[in-house]
Amino acid sequence: MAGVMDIIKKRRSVRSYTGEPVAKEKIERIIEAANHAPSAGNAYTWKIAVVQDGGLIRKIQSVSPGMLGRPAAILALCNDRKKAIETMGSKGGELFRFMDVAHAAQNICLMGAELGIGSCCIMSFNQDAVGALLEIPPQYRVDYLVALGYQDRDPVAPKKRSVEEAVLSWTGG
Amino acid sequence: MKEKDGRARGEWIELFCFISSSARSLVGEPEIYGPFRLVDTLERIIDLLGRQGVLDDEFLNSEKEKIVEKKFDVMVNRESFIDFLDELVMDFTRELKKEEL
Repeated sequence: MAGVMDIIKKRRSVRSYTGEPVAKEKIERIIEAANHAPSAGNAYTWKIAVVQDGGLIRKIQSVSPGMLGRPAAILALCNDRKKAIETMGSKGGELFRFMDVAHAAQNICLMGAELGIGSCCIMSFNQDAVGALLEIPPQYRVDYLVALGYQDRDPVAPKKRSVEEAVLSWTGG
Repeated sequence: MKEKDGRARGEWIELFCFISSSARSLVGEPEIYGPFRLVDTLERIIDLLGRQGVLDDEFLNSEKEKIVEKKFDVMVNRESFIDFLDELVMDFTRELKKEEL
């Protein structure tokens, strides 16, 4: 069984897919992993819109320039802005809701990696346009997209920085 | 409108959505995303022209393959990506020289 670090290193941003569909059970497992991500105030103001319809995936892609390749599924992480502000104040609406979906997305990508499913987090998309295509209720805002699918080629491998490069300061120890 | 024409129009609308949403996104995105989106658009236009049988030729297809191969250099090797852009410009310029406009 692979350790956490193995899965972390296995996860890559995938931008080229085979076209093979991802089974519903695997997507449910991935969402279960997202549900275990930390959430400010344990508020969980986000929900996920799952898209597996090929035509709708194309339409979402056409307003999401950061989504490359043709994924088999898209998970749209949508925040209830009103709930975020009500439960966590103004910071909830301006900051925490984005941190929460980022935590959830990381779990999605790691669970995907464990299941052999490639993923790519996307910020370059038009929130209004994706919301309109998904017919998201008005209190929700699409804050993050994660593309899923089986990769058909190894992604480019940017060099990762060393531990020393990441440490700003280290006090005590 | 014939069904085939409707599909063709849909594919162009899809591309126009990509271009307009790219323009909007680029307002707040890193500068280097601009050149990347433009070559990505170029690849999509060549692909669409070929698939719709409007303009399908060896030169354009080889340029498309080059873009597919090199565009992701933007993420790992900025200099190589810029060299690729230079090469692309000159490829098209040499081709343009052959044209009667």
